[in-house]
Amino acid sequence: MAELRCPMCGKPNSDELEKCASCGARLKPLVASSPEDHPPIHPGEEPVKGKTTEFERIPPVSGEKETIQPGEEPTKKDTAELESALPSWLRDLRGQEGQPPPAETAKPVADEGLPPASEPESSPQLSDVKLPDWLAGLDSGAEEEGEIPEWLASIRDQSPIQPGTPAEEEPFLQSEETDWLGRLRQEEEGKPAQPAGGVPPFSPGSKPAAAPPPEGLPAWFPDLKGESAPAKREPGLLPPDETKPSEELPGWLADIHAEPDKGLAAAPAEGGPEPVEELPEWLEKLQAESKTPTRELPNVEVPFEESPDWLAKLQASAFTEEKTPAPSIAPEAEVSTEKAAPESMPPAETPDWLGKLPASAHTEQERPAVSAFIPETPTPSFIPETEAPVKAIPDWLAEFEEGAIPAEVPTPAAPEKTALPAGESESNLPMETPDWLSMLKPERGEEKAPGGAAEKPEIAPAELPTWVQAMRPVEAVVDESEVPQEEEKEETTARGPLAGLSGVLPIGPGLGALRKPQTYSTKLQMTEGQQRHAASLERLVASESEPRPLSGQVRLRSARLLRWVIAFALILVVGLPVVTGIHTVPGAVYPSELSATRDLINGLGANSPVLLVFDYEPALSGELEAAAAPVIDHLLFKGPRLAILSTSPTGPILAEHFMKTTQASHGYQSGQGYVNLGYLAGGPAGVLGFAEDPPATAAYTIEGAPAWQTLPLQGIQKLSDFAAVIILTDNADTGRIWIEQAGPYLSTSPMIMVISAQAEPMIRPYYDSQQVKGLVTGLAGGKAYEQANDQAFQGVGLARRYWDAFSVGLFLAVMMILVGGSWSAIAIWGARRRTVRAASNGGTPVRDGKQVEGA
Amino acid sequence: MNWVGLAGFGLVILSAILMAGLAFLRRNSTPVFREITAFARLRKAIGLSVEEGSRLHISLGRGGLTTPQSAAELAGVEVLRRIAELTSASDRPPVATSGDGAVTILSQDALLASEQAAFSTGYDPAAARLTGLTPFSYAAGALPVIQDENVSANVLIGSFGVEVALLTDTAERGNTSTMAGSDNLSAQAILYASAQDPLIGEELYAAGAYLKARPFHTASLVVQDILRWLIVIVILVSAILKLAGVL
Amino acid sequence: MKLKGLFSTAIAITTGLIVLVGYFVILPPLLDLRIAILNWFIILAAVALFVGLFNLLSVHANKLRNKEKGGIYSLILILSLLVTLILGLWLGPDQPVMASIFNAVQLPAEASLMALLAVTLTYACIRLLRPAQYAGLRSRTNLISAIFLVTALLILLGTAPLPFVGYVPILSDLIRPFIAQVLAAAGARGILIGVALGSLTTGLRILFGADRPYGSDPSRGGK
Repeated sequence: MAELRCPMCGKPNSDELEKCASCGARLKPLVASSPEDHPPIHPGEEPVKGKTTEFERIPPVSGEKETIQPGEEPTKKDTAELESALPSWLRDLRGQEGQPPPAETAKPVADEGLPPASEPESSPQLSDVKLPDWLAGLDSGAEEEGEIPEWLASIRDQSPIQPGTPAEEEPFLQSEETDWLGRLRQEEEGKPAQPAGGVPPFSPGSKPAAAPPPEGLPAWFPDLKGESAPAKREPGLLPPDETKPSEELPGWLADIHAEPDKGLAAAPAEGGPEPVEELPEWLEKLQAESKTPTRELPNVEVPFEESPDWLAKLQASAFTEEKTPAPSIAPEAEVSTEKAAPESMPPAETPDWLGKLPASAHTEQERPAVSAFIPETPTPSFIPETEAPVKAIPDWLAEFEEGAIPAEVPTPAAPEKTALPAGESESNLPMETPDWLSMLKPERGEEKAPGGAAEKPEIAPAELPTWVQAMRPVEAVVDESEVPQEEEKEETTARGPLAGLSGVLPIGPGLGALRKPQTYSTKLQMTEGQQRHAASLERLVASESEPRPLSGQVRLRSARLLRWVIAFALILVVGLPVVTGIHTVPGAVYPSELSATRDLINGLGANSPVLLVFDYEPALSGELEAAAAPVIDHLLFKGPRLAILSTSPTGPILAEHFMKTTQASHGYQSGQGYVNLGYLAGGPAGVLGFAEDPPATAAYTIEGAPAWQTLPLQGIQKLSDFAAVIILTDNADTGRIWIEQAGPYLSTSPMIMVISAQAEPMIRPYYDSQQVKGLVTGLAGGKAYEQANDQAFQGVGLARRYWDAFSVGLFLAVMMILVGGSWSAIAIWGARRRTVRAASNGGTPVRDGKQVEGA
Repeated sequence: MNWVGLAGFGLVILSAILMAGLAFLRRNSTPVFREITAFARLRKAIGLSVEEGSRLHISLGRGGLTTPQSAAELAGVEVLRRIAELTSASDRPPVATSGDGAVTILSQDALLASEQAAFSTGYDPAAARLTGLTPFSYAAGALPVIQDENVSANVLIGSFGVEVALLTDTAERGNTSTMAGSDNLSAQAILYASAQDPLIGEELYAAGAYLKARPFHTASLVVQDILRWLIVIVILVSAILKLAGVL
Repeated sequence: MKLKGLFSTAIAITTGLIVLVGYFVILPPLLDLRIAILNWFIILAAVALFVGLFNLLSVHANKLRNKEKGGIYSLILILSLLVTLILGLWLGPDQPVMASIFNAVQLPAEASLMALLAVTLTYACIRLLRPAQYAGLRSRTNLISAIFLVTALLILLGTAPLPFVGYVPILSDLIRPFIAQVLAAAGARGILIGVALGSLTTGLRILFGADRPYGSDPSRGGK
C-alpha cells in the first residue's frame, strides 16, 4: 500500500485515507467544487468561509521534507499540484471560466512569514517574472484547466503576464462577481492608479506591476510583484501568470497584481518584466523600487481561510487569530512597522471601495496584519535599493489614506530599544506592501478589541497561516523564534556575561533573570515592644549578678547595750532586798495544795522511813532549795529516817549540800539520820527497777557501805515500806517518770512533790488526779509554806528572803518587757508607715540614711 | 494487763500495721507535705554553708537514749546524718554536740557513715563532741563551737531544756541562723521567742521526712495524723460521756 | 560489712520488741528477760558516759595540741577534769574536798548560767516585736507573737505580788490560774500528746529497721 505523507505533520498515512490520521489534514486535494457547492460571491457579500485546510493536499515530493524549517531554502514546487489548495470560490471562478481554479492563492494578511525578497536586479517584467512555486502552479493549472474568471483574466490582460496565463484567469474574472470589478475598472480608468488600502491577497502566479515597493517593504514583496505577471489583477486572486491583459482590469488592480509578483519572485528577476504601460504609476513605481532580489518562497501550503469581500474579511480573519498581542518580536516589529507605516509610507491613493471600508472594522490589533506589510521607518536592509521614494500614488489610494487612515497611527509602546538591528527588524517584513495597503485601517477588530484598544498600543501579532509562514524569509522565522525583546531580555543581553550579544538564548523558565541574589540582613528585626522586653530581661539578669548592699550591723551595738542595761538593772533590783533585807512585798497567798502537804507531813509518825529523791539540776538548786527547805524542815521536825536517792549524777552531791546548808539545825548526819543511796542510773528503767526491788537496785550507799543494813533502812525491802516519797525535781519529765514508774508500787504511801514553777503545768494534773498527794510549787509555794509554819521557823527562811527580791525583779522584768514591747510596736508602726509612703511614691523606704529592708 | 496497758499495746500494734501498710502502698508516690519554713530555710542554709566554706552546727541536746527523750535524740541523729550527706562536699564538715555519751557515739557513727557514703576520707572523730554531762555544762561547752568555729547556721534538734536559750542567744549575737526543736515545753517556749525557725510540737519528728522523704518517714507522719484524730475523737467522746455521767 | 549492719539491726529489733512486749504482756520469762536487757542498757549507758568523757578529753586535747583559739580554756578543762577524777576516785564523792569543789565551782557556775537566762529571756521578750533590721534574722511581728507576749506578762504579774502593792486579786486569783492551769495546761497536754506520738512512730521506724542510727545505712550507700 502506498503511503502518503501528510503535508502538515509529515507523518505517513495510508494512500486510501483522505485525511491524516495524526493531524487531520487532508491528504488529497479536494476536487474542484461546482458552483453549486461554492456559490459565487457578489460585491458586498460576505465571502463564504472555506477552510483552507482543504487545500493542504499537495503532498510533498517524496524525499523532500514536508515543511520548511527555518533557515532552509524553500523547495520548488509545481504549483499545479497546489491547485487543490485553492479555496473553493477561487476554483469556482476558474471553473466558470473553464479554467481550473488557481491552485493557490496568497493570503493577503500577514507577511511576517514571508521570506525577504531579494533585490530585483531590474525592474521586473511581467513576462519575465518568474512565479514562485506556489503561484507557478496557478499558471500551469490555469493553462491546464482554463478556469480563470473573467475578472481575473481581465486583470491578467492588463498586466504583462505570460502568454497563456491571462486567458486562464480571465474567465475567473468574468464571473458574476466581476460586475463590480468592471465598474471599478471604469472608474479607475479615469483615475490614476493608486494602490489599494488593503492588503492585496497574493495570488499565485499573479505578477504585480513593476512598481518600486515603498520603503520598508520586505524584499520578497517586490520580488513577488516582479515575478508575477505585470498585469493588473485582483489582489490575491490571480496568479500573475494567469493574469489577463490588463485592459480589462482596473489600473490599480493591475498594479496590485504586479506588486506581489515582485515579492514572490524567488529568483532575482533579471530584467524583470517591463512594467505594463497600463499599470498605474504607483504600481510601476513600486515595481521599480522593488529591486531586491527575490527568492523563491518556500513551497508552503497555506490554507486560505477567507474569501473576499475579501480584503476586510481576510484581514479580519487574520486579526481574529490574534486577539491578544503576543510578546514576540513579530508583533512588535509589526507594531514598529505599523508605527512607521504612516511615516514611511507615502500617502497613496486608495480605491474608493477600499476607502469606504469602515475604519472601525479594524482594530489596532488588526493593524499588525496591516503593518506586516508596512515597512519600518528605517530603510529595510533587504531593500537597499528601495530608497526611491514613492513618487506618486493613485488618487484613490490617497483618498483612502486620508480618509481612513489617521495621520498618526497609535501604536503600542514600542520597545525602548530595538533589540534587533535594523536588518533584523526588517526581516520581519519580507514583503513590500503597497501604500494603499498600508493605509488601510483594520475595519474589524474593534469589537473584539478591548475598550482600551486605543490606549493599548500593543497589537496582537497576527498568526500567519502556514503557507505564509513558509514564504517568510529565514531571518523572519529566526526572529520570530527569538525571545521577545522585553526589558528583561534586553537587560540580559545588556548585562551579564553575554552583554551586547544578540540572539542569546533566553533563560529558561523558572530560572529567571540573572541578577545578584538578594541579600538578607543578618540584623535581628525586632519591634519596639520586643526591644523593651529584651532590655527588661537584660536588666533583670544583670541585677541578679550585682551584689546587693548589705545592711549595717547596727543592731549588735544596741543589742549588747540593752543586755547590759537589763543585767545591771536586774542585779541592782534583785540584790538590794537581799542585801538590805527590805521587805517590800506585803501579804501571802496560800495555795490549796499547801494544806494537803502540811497535813501529810503532820500525819507521819516519828522515825518513819521517808524516801527523798533529789532530781534537780545544780542550776535550779536555788529555787528548789528555797521551795523544799520549809517542807524538809517541817519533815525533820518529825524525826524520820531518810533515804536519799537521785537519778541525776549530781543529785547525791546536791542532796548533801542541801542537808548541810538548810537542815543543819536538825543535825542529821549521813549514815545516822539519813542514807545517801547515790546515783540511780537507767532513768525510767532504773526507777522502775528500784520501785520493784530497792535493795537490789541501790545496794550500796554513796560511801560504798551496804545500804539496806544501815539503821535508817532497817526493815525496808520494798518501796511501799517507806512512809512517804518526796520528789524534788525541776523537770516535769522526771516527775512524771517517778509518778508513772514508782507510783504503782507505793500502794498507800503518799507521794509528795516539790517542783519548780516551770514544771507545775505538767505535774498539777497528777495532783488533781490524786496520783500526787501533795504539791509545793516553786518559790511562792515555799514562801507560803514558810508562812504557814511561822511558828516552826525561827528567823527568816530562805524563801522569805528570796521572795522580796523575786518580786521586785519580776516586776522590773515586766516593766522592761512592757516598755520594750511598746517601743518595738511604735517602731514597727513607723516603719510600716514609711513603707507605705515609699510604696506610694515609688521609692524604697529609708531610715537613718539607710534603706530599710524587710520592713 | 489492765485495760490501760491493753489499750496502749493495741495502739502500738495499730500504729505498726498502719505504718507498714502505708509505707508499702506509697512507696512509689511523691509525698506532699505542708510547708514548714524551718526546713525550707535549712536547705538554703545548707547550700549557703557549702558555698561560703562555713560549717553547720548540729546540737542534739542532753537527752539520753535510755530516757523518754531518746526519740528526740534519734530524730536529731537522723537530721545529723542527712545534713552530713548533703555537706559531704564542703570544705568544713558539720560539727555535732551533745550532752550524753551514747548520743555522742551515735553522732560519731552518723558522721562516719556519711563520709563513707560520699566516698570521702575527711572524717574527723572530733566532729562529734560531748560538751558536758549536765544541761548547762553541755550548753556552756557548746557556746565556743558557735562562736569560734566559723558556724553559719545552727540546727538544735533533740532534748533541750531552758539552757537552749543560751545557745540561741549566742547564735544570734554571732549573726547565725538557728533552727531548733525540742520535746520539752519550756524549751519550746524559749525557742519560740529566741530562735528564727522554731519547731513546735511534733514537727521535730518530721525532720527526717522533710529532709529526705522515704516511704517509712512519710508513713509515720500519716500515722501520727491518724492517731491524733483518734485521740481527739476519744477525748471528745470521753468528755461527753463524763458530762453525761456515764463515766 | 553488710553482715555487720544486718547483725546490729537484728539486735536492735529483737531487744526493742522484747522490751515493748514485755512492758504490756506480763510473762515471767519475758519479764526476766526484759529486766536483764534493761540492766544491760544501764550498764551500756554508764560505759557510754565514760566514752563521752574520753571524747571530751580528746577534743580538748586536740584543740590544745593544735593551739586553736580557746586552747587555754581547754587546758583548764582537762586539768579540772583530771583533778576531779583523781580526787573523786581516791577520796570518794562524799569527801569534803569533793563537796567543796562541787559547791565552789560547779554549783555557782551553773547557777550563774541559769541567772543569765533571766537577762536573755527578758531581752528576747523585748525584741519579740521589733522590726527585722533590729531583730536579727527573725522578724515575727504578728498576732501570735503579741499574744505570746501578753500571756507572759500576765503570768509574771500574777505569779509574784507587786512591790508595795501586793497581789492583784483578779490577776492573781483568776487570770493567772486560768491561763496557767487551763490554757497552758491544755496546750501543753496537746503538745505532749503529739510528742508522744512522734516518739511512738520514731520507735516503730527503728523497730522496722527503717531508721538505723546505730550504723551505716546500706540504702544510703553505706557499707
